[in-house]
Amino acid sequence: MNRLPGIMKIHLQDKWGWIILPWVILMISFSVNLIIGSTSGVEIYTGGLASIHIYMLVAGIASVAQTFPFAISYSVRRKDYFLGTLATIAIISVGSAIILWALGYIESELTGGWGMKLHFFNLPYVSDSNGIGQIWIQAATMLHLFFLGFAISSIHRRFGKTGLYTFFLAIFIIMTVSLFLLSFYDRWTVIGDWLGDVTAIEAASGLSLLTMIYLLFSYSMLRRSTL
Amino acid sequence: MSTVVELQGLTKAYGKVNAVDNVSFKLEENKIYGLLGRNGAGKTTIMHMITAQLFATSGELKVFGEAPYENARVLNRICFVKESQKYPDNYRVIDVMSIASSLFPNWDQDFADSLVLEFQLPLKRRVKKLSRGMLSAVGIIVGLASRAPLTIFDEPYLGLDAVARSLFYNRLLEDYALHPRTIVLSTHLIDEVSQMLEHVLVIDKGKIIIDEEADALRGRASTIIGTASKVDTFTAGKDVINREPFGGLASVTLLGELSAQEHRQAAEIGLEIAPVSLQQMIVHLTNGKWDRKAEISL
Repeated sequence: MNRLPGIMKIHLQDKWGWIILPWVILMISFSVNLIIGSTSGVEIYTGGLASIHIYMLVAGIASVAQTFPFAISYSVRRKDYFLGTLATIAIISVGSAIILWALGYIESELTGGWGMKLHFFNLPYVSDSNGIGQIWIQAATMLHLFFLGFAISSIHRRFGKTGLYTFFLAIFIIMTVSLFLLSFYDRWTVIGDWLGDVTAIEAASGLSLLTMIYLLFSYSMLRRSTL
Repeated sequence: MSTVVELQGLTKAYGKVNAVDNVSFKLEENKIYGLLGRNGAGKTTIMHMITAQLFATSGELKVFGEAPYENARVLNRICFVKESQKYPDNYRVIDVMSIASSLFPNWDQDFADSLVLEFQLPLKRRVKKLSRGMLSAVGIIVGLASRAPLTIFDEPYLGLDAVARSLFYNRLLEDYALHPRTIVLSTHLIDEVSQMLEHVLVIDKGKIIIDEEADALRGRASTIIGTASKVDTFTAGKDVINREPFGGLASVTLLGELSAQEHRQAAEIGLEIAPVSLQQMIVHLTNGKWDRKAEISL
């Protein structure tokens, strides 16, 4: 019996958390920007879209604690839980990205920034790409953020609080040393030049490589996690 | 009859403490087992290992002939209902039922629906808002309606009143008669379930101390009541698991069957022999006063 649909259902059964809430938050953010735009009359570029990205990060963190123990105690294999979660989030990310692209299209092509030059869904840099490219950028960003949260939370699942503290201590030390080395050897400009040349699509593909690492990492954590 | 679960020298260590210590037993197909013992004896740990939710430190474990870890063939056939079951925060009762129906291959929706009515569960209420008894009822319904070939109930009825508990026992027995499967009941309420059990496993301090057919176990212990001196003479050299003096009288509980001759002998010197319930017997065996190194050979 194929269990993936059952595991996807574990996530999607929470319709409020997955389908309603992120869009309610996004729409509130959008409305605030609409009000500001209509009262000020100035052309606005806003990062309000980030609310949905942050939502994905939080959902990733919450997901392990909410659904992993439940799934495992309902006789689900760890591997199936992992694959089912990946499939669910991939579908949600691509679906959301398509909706965002459509809203961006309405914004830039049909309504001239909702009649008030508001740039909410269609942002520069991202909009350098074509439709497929934009969908890929959004989906890759969402997947990346979800599995960043998921990986962090899976350390907690596997090694508890101590594991999480140790991990962040290690990250902190690595960051400090790398930043020091970059300054010491005066390499900041090299990095700056390199980043300046990267297109949004390339950045999204780069993020996906990181996502792959998070996936492998969180799977190795969950495989040995107990209840 | 085929073996469903087989443990060979299974041990789970937490630091220097062995929560489960070199445990070996077998569970056979289509029987009702009682896994009995005090809190912290290791019952839940054993069940978590059987369902691959915890990993053993050493020893061998086979469920349906295979290692259960990450094994869909094995896990698909198990339903483990535990008292401490966690549900996602936003789930309603109906969401739990819907997930259970898609995860357990033998799920019977009609049976689940009728149980929901009988236990008077509010389907639309969030699981978080349920009373302790209702929460237990959710677990019981999932355990019964999943009809898993290996169904394990770990303290399933916390907070359930006597009416609901007997409803659970009745539905369990009825459904078991129609759809035989292996059932493991772990509980403190030994007297309530003792009539249903076909086989009893008693665990104490991480070790199995009794692994016996329930029928054989009943009558294996008896209490001798009479004048203290006569009782002591009669029980000298026998396997005494409890002795309670009151005044000049004594009540001594013995393990092991008494022969017809011993029954006559007791009657002649005016001693009374009373049967011991399973619960009393287990209380005596696991109350700490009675300590035995090896597994008892009944």
